[in-house]
Amino acid sequence: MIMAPRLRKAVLTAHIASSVGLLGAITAFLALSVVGVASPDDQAVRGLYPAMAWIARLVIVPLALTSLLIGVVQSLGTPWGLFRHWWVVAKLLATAFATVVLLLKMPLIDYVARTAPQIAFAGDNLRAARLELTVHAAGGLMVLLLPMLLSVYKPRGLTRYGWRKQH
Amino acid sequence: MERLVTPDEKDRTGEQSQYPRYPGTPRWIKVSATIIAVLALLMVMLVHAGGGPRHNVRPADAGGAPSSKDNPG
Repeated sequence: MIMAPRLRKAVLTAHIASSVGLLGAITAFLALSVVGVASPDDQAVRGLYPAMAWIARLVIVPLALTSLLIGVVQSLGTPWGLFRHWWVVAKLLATAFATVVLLLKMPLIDYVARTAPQIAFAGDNLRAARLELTVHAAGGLMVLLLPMLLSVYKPRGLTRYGWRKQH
Repeated sequence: MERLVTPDEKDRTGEQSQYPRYPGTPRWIKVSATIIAVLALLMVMLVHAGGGPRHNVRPADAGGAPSSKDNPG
């Protein structure tokens, strides 16, 4: 079902807002996780991880799910379709992959947030977990830049299904 | 009753199709898929070689040994 132009613009605005908001939130999360790994200030680091968990729970996860859902609705409501063009499929896969990895990493984020205020950071305490959060935040940011590039450049190429629909 | 023949079937049987032939998967998808596959393989090898991430907390610093339920890794 093709959406009316006014509705399509509203959905597109919501999709851009949620996707750009997600990129910004992950960038903030990455910045905090880098401070968490590199800062010598124990007290600041202890307070950092609970804040990061709140950002993840209240901002990043909702925005990721919203962006994914609105993206699907938007593609189905326009002539682009969801499985007709390779760039739309690639965008869907990248966003879905990033969202699944994010949801899988939520227990780790919660664990570090719960444990961090109780421990001394001098030494290697939680170092692997903190590094893992940083690596995943950086990876997530890279993966989510991909849909943005695909949306802007829209590389050519129809899927077999799209080809059949078009001819 | 005559069976409907899809364009794909016509291509396979060599029958002249009224539809233009599917040009195939674009090169950028093939290149991206190869890069992703290589990266995934490297990641799997890295995780297995390193024994996976360890979330180390010294029990004394955490006010007691964290339970296995607490540690997701």
